Amino acid sequence: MHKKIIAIALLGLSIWFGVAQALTLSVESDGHITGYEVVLFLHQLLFVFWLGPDLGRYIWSTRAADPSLSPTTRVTAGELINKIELFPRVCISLMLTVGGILTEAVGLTHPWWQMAGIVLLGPVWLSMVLIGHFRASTDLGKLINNTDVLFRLFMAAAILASVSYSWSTGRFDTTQWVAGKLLLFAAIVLFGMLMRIRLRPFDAAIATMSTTGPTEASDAAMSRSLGLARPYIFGIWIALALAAWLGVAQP
Amino acid sequence: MEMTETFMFWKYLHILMFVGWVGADMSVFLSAKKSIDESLPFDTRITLLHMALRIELIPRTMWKAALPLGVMLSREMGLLQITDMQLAFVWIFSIVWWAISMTGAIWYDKEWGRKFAHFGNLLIFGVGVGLIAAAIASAYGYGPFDANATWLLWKVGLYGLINLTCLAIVLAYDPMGPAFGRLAVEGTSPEIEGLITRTFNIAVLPIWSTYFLVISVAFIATTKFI
Repeated sequence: MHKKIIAIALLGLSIWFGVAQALTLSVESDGHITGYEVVLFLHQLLFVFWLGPDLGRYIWSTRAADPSLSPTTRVTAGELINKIELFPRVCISLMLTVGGILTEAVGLTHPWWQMAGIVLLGPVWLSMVLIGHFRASTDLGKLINNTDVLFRLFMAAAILASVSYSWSTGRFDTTQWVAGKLLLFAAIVLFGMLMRIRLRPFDAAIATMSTTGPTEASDAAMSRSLGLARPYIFGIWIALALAAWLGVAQP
Repeated sequence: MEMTETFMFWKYLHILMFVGWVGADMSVFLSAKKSIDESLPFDTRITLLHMALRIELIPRTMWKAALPLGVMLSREMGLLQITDMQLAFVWIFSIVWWAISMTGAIWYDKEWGRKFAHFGNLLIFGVGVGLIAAAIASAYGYGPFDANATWLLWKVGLYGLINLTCLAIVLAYDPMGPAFGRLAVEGTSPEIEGLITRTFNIAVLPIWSTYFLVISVAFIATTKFI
């Protein structure tokens, strides 16, 4: 617990450092490291460790649903999926904070209370992800996992409201691509939520497989569940790739 | 430097390459790590190892793609003097290199597949040493890259080094196949499990070195501090 508090404090400090640097240093630099560059690098790393492991997670989910494999192999595949998916979940939790700090460098300034919210969101969301993953069997873990759908709905609605308001006030006039990235992020949050709902029978079948073994019904449920989740999985990948393109091209 | 559409296109592909390399390799590493768990039945362990090798085709492809993509970006930035003919050669070499590497990786259980893999290893060594030499020569004004772009020279040299650490992974992991073969025939024993665990533990060092170097290269490219 002590280590986790230190880790979160360090994360907060590093994000604060990034904010401070992004606000005081120029976008262009050579021969030295600016805060903007550090935050931009973190932004890229989050993209890398989000989409990359997600590819592996999807491949393993097809193995877990494969009835020709032994139950032990399929359960092990389920365990691996659980481990691998921590990467994208950590990355999504920090993306808005890191992205929000970056927008300062392209001229989208925030009042102090908004910036405080942006900076706090990352550590709070990350804590929820970590507790939900590593303490899933505790009351707090269950509460967090059960409210995931509500939290994601709230986040998507908040982003949509924020973008709509800023758009109406002309705040995005010169940085429409940022609005595009935010809308894509909201779509990803929603796709993730829908994917999780669709994968519930899949997760339930994996959970019972180690004790009762697979049945024709559970195999069919897994296959159907994965099939229904697939459009959202691919949707997340496409939205991520589009968001990355907007970040690079900044049209 | 003007951000042309062509430059942005190659930069975008360069970032996607990073995603498919280190990002996708997390699944490879975790799958391979799980395959050494001796509490699991053999069929599960062999599936884990097989899947690790199959998913690894993604990072393997990206690692090879880094060469032509890096060349395209350097050229777009005006930091690499290269003719169209030389550029075509880089692309053809990269595709052939990739094809040889993939053939060796996909048919790792066939004798002729292993021959391809062996030849691929020689190419990796050549590319690694060649790029380190090109970076050093460029730093002294005798290479193809702009000597003033020191960050790029570091990138090129480190990418050369990454090729050597990747080769070290391949060589360190080489005893894993025969060890699993013995596991299939003889069943589990402390000796075989020790060999499997030892092989994995030895391979971990170049694996983590590779991750560290690839991320360092990305950091250098983003900050250009060096």
